[in-house]
Amino acid sequence: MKKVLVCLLILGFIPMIFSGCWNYKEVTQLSLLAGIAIDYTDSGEFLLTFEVADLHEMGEKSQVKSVLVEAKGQTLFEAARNVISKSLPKLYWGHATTVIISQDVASSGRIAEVIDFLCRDAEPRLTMAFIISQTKMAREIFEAQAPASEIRSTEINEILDDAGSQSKIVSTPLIDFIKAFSAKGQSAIATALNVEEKGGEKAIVNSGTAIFKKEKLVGFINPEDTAILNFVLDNIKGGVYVVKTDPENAEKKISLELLKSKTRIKPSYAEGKLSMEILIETSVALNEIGGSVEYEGEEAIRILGQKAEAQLKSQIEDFVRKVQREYGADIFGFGQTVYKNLPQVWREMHDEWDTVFSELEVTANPIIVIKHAGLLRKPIKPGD
Amino acid sequence: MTKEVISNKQAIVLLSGFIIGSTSILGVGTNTKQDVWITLLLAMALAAVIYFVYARIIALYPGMNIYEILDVLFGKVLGKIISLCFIGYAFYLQSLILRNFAEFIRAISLSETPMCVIAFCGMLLSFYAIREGLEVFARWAAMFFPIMVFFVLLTTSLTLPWSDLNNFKPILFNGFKPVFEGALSAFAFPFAEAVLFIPTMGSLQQKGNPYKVYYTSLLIGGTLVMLVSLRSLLVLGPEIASLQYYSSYAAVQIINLGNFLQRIEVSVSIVFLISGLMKSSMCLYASVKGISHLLSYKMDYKTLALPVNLLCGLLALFVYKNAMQMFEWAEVYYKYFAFPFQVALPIITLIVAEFKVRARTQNGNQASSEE
Repeated sequence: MKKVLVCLLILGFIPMIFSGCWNYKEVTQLSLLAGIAIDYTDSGEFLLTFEVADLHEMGEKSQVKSVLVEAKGQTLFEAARNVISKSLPKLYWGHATTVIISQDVASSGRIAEVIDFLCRDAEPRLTMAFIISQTKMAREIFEAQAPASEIRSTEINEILDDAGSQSKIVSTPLIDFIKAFSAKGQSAIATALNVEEKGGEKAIVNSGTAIFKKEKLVGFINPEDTAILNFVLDNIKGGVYVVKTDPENAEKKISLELLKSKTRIKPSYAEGKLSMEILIETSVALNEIGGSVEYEGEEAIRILGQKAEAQLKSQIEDFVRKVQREYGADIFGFGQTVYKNLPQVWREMHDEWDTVFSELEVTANPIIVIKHAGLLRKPIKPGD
Repeated sequence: MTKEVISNKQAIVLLSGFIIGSTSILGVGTNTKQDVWITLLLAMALAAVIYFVYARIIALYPGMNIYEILDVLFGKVLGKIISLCFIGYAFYLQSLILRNFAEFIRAISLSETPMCVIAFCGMLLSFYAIREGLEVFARWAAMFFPIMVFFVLLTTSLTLPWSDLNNFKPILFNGFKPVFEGALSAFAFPFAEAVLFIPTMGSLQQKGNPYKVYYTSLLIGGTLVMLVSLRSLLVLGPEIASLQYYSSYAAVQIINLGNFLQRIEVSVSIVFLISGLMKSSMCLYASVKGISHLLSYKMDYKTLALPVNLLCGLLALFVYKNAMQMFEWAEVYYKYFAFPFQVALPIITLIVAEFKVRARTQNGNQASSEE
């Protein structure tokens, strides 16, 4: 009798144990979201375009493909859920790598809404690339061709991962954007991408940096200026720096490969006047001598270094002045530096920081050290 | 009933785990932003003072249970009433931990699972732990504590590339007042909750040193709490760290080594599971041991573990209406609620105990001189 009872009990427990998770999700039942583009519709609703990795045709021959799905809604979350009605399983956000936001959304001042939504939900990750599109609609980026990978979001991430060897691109993961967005005395920046049409094919290209002031997009700066911005923000991990050696002959240029760079921003306050000093220490290698055959020997290299320093100095100072005048947005985080290093000064100035920033005196003092000159002892010259 | 004995080391491990407890995910002193380290140091200094009181009570009556000590000090009736307050606090704290546990898992992964299922799983574990007895649990803790420390150190060292020391600046921008208030909060949760460890200390081996246990644990537990808090601050920056409910989870999410080692935030959950289990089991031990004493040991504490635990799980389900209430309670009101149990009662107990012991030794001396 007792044995029967025990057996019955065990039998009763089996369905509880072996039925598995009650809300389990198999991989085949999930749509893996790769990236998301956020636009407005004409009526002012949110229009989300999801790039979904299509796993159904996975096999030895077929490549992973992506499908674009659209959904509208009054809020982002509503739009994200409306996509379910489109015969697609529920989207899984955990692997999304890219968020692209259109200019309209960014300049309408609703960016806080977007990042709040992305952070509040448990699935999206803070390491997603945060991108502002310079095209009219953000979804156009997803419609462009991707040469390396079938999934555009992955492609974009590869471009950003390579940002290290090209100083002209700024990589802003969501977490970095939020940090700058929520920090005192700093304006946020984001990667800007554009689509270029060439021979009927559309390709994704880097178009520099998007500049925010408070919660609004105020403008874009081009890739060349982005390189300068990266110097100020201490983002330089590699890349090329071109020096014009002769002011009269624009042909004469030298390429320096950036090896290592370190930037410090030093605020100083004297007699009621605040000023900033940008100290940069960069190691470079001489990689290309374009039509400037006179550079050989240690002395010449030293002079070249000085020229490069002078050029970088004026570029940085011009660029900072331009940002101060045109945008008035403290994308360099000068205010943040003051807050951290001169808290007493910040306490007095933080209310009128906008005006203080636009009149701030900024000097740059770069030191460029040329470490080596490649494999050649002397420039190659034509023999007589 | 044979008396259970735990060694000095096991007690240290249990208490260190107890101190980390749910702090590993909730974080402490995030409101004080970049001054969180000052807050924590201050809280630890305050804790060092009150830990002397706790350890002294145990040292005065070695080998005795706190509930027996209370009976001796305050008499059968008053002693039992104080015991009851103490048991109530242990019971309540355990349900809070269960709720934290359930709330965290619901927010992070199992959003569609009913909370009672998650709470039940946590409950089952601490029931099993106490059912097997304190000695078994202490041995288990000694085995798992190094794993927990390993994960804390691993995740902390992996976040180093994303850490920015500038996040410490500026120091004391908002003055000392918020830091002090934060320190009081951090003192109440988690440090002074170690008052509930006193019943466990009743089983400390004869040659064990309660001071050593309390202060070593404060050092180990405090360091780990500090590491977890600093990690959130340095990786996320003060603004985001204070925004996030589960900031240490968010901080570990950032880890990505060469697109290879990433998505290891689950290790935060491992730390929380181990330390949370230690804490909730110690609370359960404190309450069932006390109830067993109230029943004059007619029932063993192991038998009581199940019913008390079930009630605790029920309380956990309706103790807060929602997650926002939970965090507000923990940050704003908890320190006032916990004050009588953590500070007032132990100090009164110690004062009475000192008098009694003095009186006893004086009587003893007189008796011996008369002989």
